[in-house]
This record gives sequence, C-alpha cells and structure tokens, in this order.
Amino acid sequence: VFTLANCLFLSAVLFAIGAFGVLARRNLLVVLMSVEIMLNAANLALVAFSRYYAAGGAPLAGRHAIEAGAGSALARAGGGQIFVLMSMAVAACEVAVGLALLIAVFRTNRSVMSVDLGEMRG
Amino acid sequence: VTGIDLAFGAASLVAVGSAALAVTRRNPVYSAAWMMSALFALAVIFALLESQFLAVVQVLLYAGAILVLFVFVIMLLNPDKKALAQDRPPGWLRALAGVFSAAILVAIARGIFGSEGAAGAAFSAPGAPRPHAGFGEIEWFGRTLYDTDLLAFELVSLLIMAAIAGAVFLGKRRLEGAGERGEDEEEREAPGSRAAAGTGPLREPARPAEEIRVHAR
Repeated sequence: VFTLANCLFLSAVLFAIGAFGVLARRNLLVVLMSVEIMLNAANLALVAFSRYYAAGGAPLAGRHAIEAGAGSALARAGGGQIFVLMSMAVAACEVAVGLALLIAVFRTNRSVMSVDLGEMRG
Repeated sequence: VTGIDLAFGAASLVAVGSAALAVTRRNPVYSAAWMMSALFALAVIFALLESQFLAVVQVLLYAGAILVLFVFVIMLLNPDKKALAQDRPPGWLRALAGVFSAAILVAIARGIFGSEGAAGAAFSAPGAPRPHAGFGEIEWFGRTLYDTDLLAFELVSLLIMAAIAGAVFLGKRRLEGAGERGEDEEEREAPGSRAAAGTGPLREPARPAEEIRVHAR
C-alpha cells in the first residue's frame, strides 16, 4: 500500500542498488549512472516526506527514527520538493562535469575502466 | 487497496527491476536504456505523491537531458567488446559490494519500520488528509522558490555557471601529464614552435617539466 514507510523503503532499495553499482562496477560510465540512481533514491525520500508533512503528518519518532527537526527546512510543508529541485540541478552539474572528466580520462588512457587508472595511485 | 496503491506497486516494481538491470548490464547502452525506464517509473511515483511539477522535471531533466548526455558520451567513446569484457570484477569484490549494499538496506529499513507512526495512514486511503489545493503544482512551486528559497535558487545558478565553465574547460583542452602515449606523441609540437608563433598563453618557453601542460586543440 501507498504509505510513507513503503515509499521510504523503495527509496532505500534503490539506494542500495545504486551503491552496489558504484562498488562493483569498473566501467566509470556505469558508476556515474549508479550515482544518479542513488541521487534519485534520495529525491524519492524527500518527495515522500514532503507529501507526508504537507498533509499534516506528525514527525516520526522512535529509537531508530528518521527525524527532521521541527524547524528544519525538511519539516516545512513542501520544503522537500524545493530541495529535490536543487538536488536535480546539482545532479545535472555533476553529470556534465563527470562526463567531461571521463572524456578527459579516456583521451589520456584510452579506457574508461577504473582499474586502468592505477597511475593515480600515490 | 485502491487503484493508486496498484499504480504505486507497479511503478515500484518497474523502478527496482530497471535499476537492478541498469546496474548489472555489461553494455552501458543497455544500462542507459534501463535507467531511462527506472527514471520514468520514478516520475510516475512523484506524480502519485502530488508533486506534478517535479514529475515533469524528472522526465525533462533526467530522462531527457542527463540520459541523452550519457548516450552521447557512450557513442563518443564507442567502447568495443574487448574493452567491455574488462568490466568483470572478481567475485569477491561483487560479493563484498552485495553485502555492503544489503547492510545499507537493512540499516535504513530498521530505521523506517522501527519508528513509531511509520505504519501511518496510507496516502491513498479515502479519508486520509491531503495537502492543500495546488500543492506541488507549478504556481505553488514558483511562489515558494522565488519567495522563501530565493537564496538557494540564486546559488544554484552560480553552481551551474561553475559547472559549465568546468565542463567546457575539461572538454575542450587536452591535459598532458607525465605519461603521454599513443596519438599524443604525434601531436606534440617541437619545443619552441609555439613560442615562435607567439600566440596563446603558452608563450613563455622553458616551462618546468613537472607542470601539466595544456595544449589548445
């Protein structure tokens, strides 16, 4: 069912998938895509909280609770959506710079695999 | 269980499945295609969460701009099968990555389902409280953005400016480090030829070898 907890769980699953991609893949292109998936997972959590608080939901509480302080921007109704827009802008910048870096790496190395970047080792 | 619940479930399954496939395909073109499917599914969920504007931006910006950029770069680099076959990390590394991401998942899930009120009323329940009218629509979005969050908006424009400058710099110039190889050798000019031509910032001769030289293409 369509509850806050399930939205957050979906976001956690997507985040874990993205983290797996970042850790296990060697193709830097796919690593960048995995980072995008992780960013999207975080965006989903923000949008879900935004919807929850806008409908007058009470902040979650408990031993492992995810807390947004009462005065914080995230607890403000709709603050999460603005945050997501900013995060999307940051993601776009990150992809532009990341891909430019990737092309620069490819020009010098003829490869986009992270294992071929051994010369970066100190 | 209402229609919205079903839509949410279907979109969730599509998002998780596509993301998993995007991360595991060896060919980055397939990864990009599956990622587009995951991004569309997320746009559907955004729309269900009453953020119509963000759903549109998700499609335009992520599935449109960012993914097209990825596909362009994949075409530009045009990796062959032999290069792609390199992307086969050892089993222990994949197992470690799996354990690590599973640990992240368990930790977050504990936080979510361990908190009081997490079970709360479904967004889709008939009598459930809803956000005020116009919430998440473009007018509300614009008013909030230019009123309460103007500073963040302006700072983002600064960030985008910096990113454009960085991307153009990285994309247009060739950074030659210590270990040039391959084609770079042919393109290197004889020392002094550029100084004789007398153009550009590289006029001064005898630069230290350790310095990274930047050649305009």
